[in-house]
Amino acid sequence: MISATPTAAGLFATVLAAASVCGAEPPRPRAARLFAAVGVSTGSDAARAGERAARSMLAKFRAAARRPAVAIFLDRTARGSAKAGGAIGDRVRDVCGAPTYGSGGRIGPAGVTWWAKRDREPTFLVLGLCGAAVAVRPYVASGASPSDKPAAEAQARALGRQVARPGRPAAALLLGGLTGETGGAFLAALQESVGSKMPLLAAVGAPGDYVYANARAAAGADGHRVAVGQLLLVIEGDFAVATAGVVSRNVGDAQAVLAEADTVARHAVEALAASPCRAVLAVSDAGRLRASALDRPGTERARLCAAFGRDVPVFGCFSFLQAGLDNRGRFSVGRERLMLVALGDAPPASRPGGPRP
Amino acid sequence: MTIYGRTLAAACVLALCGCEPKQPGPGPATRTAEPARRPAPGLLAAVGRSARAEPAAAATEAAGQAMAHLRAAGVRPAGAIFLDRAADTSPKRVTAIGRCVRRLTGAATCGHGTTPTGREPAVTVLVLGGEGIDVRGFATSGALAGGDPNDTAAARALRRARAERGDALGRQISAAADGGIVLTFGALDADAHASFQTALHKRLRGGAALAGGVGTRSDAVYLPGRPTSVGQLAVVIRGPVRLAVEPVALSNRWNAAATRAEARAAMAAAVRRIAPSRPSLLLTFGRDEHNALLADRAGDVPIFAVSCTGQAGTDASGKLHAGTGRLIVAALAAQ
Repeated sequence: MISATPTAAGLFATVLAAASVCGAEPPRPRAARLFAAVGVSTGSDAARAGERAARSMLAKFRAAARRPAVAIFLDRTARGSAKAGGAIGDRVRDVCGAPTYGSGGRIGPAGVTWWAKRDREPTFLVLGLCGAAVAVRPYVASGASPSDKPAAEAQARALGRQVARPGRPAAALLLGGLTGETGGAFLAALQESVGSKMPLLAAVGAPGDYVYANARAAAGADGHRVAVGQLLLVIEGDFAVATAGVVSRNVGDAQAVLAEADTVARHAVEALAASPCRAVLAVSDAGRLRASALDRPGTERARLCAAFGRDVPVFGCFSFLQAGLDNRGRFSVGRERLMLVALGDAPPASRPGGPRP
Repeated sequence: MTIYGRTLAAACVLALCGCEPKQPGPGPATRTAEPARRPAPGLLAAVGRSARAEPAAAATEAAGQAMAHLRAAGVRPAGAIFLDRAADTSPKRVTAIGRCVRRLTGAATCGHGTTPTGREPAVTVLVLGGEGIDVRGFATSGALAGGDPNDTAAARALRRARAERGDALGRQISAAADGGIVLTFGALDADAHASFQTALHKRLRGGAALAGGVGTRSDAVYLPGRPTSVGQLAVVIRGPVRLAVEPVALSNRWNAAATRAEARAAMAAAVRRIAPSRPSLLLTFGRDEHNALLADRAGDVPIFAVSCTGQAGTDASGKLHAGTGRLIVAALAAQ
């Protein structure tokens, strides 16, 4: 016979459990993990290609029941202008329904995106990011490319001074056009201002490239949201950031170039440790692509994806000038480089709502 | 007019006429400079430099400075390499300099002319002497200019042409003898010279230490017995000598302190690798401002600085480094 009368021990256990529940912290909402996807489209009509790429990216977000918090695009479809860039960016922004930033310009000497099927194929690439408190702060330096080294350094320092130290893990991505010699001086000076706050990754196109910073959101267009110039995007959130990079030993040796892509990707994966990689921002050199007889941008991208995972979106391009932190953590700027920033899930200990030590 | 003056005038007249005494050689593209004369003990290298505008005068002054060192040591020259940096480098000017250097040194002479990238024009002459040392030049002719940058097929064809050019130069060198030290100079697009250097290195089957660079697309190269023209030059040094090459890809050439540290570390590494021998010559291939960083670091060891926009060099393991934005430092010593 089973007694319905509670025993003393049972009562004590119930009271203890109730006290325990009352004393516990309320359950915190688990932050959405970082999610990223790219959309790519080919074609010379930048506006249409941009729209198609944005829809392609959006479809991947919908399939994952997510919405992009921010979109970043690279327009390598034609020689861009600030005027055309505004309309293109606005169209992408309308499709994405999220703050949109990007850069566009000349295909050819200044490079192609990672997703072009062949060298000099016009492509429009859009990256969407969401979750993990992802936010992007844009800083625009408008105007023609600085004509000399002191002017370039002054412009870079002025841009760098605006950048606040982020409260969360962050990476800075510089897009836009610069000339070779002054571009290097610009990036070296920018690193001095920004490098102590977060890792900097830069893909420099040709002078005259346009940059777009969420133009329609800007109340009363001030003429600086869509401009010829440089765009520094500070991407911050609750995620892990790993950097890697290398200067090619011999840009004429295709096998050496591909082996370097393996090494760089492996280094970034190791730096992320247990955090799964969710997105890769990578820049390579147009000369590295062309001199090595690779010809197809996908060849090098495939090596990166093999290390990071086939589903991990790779965003970036083959550019005229690159900058970033190399495998030794040293700032490196110039040509013939492969530089990347990998974004992964935040380690469990630092994740809001995650298990605590 | 003195005898010296008459000789100089005669050389200038010959240069203006475009005449060049013919010498026997394996073919129009593979003419080698004359063999080394009576050998001298050890390895001695001397560098002379002149900033005079007139080519014959500059060559005479630079070669005279270098030869003074060899005469003082009682060493006969085995070979001479000259570099002409002038705003108006032309085959005619380079020929005039080459003839002057060759006449004054009496040794196998080769060289090239390029346009300076910022520093003042100058003629620099390197003279090498020593027992069993053989200096020979090999050249290929013709410019390899860039085509339409938006034409992928044209770019691919050009890359193939550069590789074929490197392979052809490598075949010439291999046909003459195996091994040796190869210094490359000449006219190529800096952005894409790597395919040329890679093919050359491949053809040499890694059997040669290589250091060098390219100037501009219109650099003229000089070898006696062939018309001076736009092309590529390989100088092969054979004999009881060793070359330690230290290629460095400069991480941030816009940061003077970082670049200086990397350049000095490369020089120290090259000197360390040639030890226990003391270097007889230091070579630097890089941009002018990077070469200048090492000018005062060589002490009493002569330094031969080559201004180039694209650089190449083999490292300690024999792997070729080639591209732009590099500094190649090499130490040459007797075995």
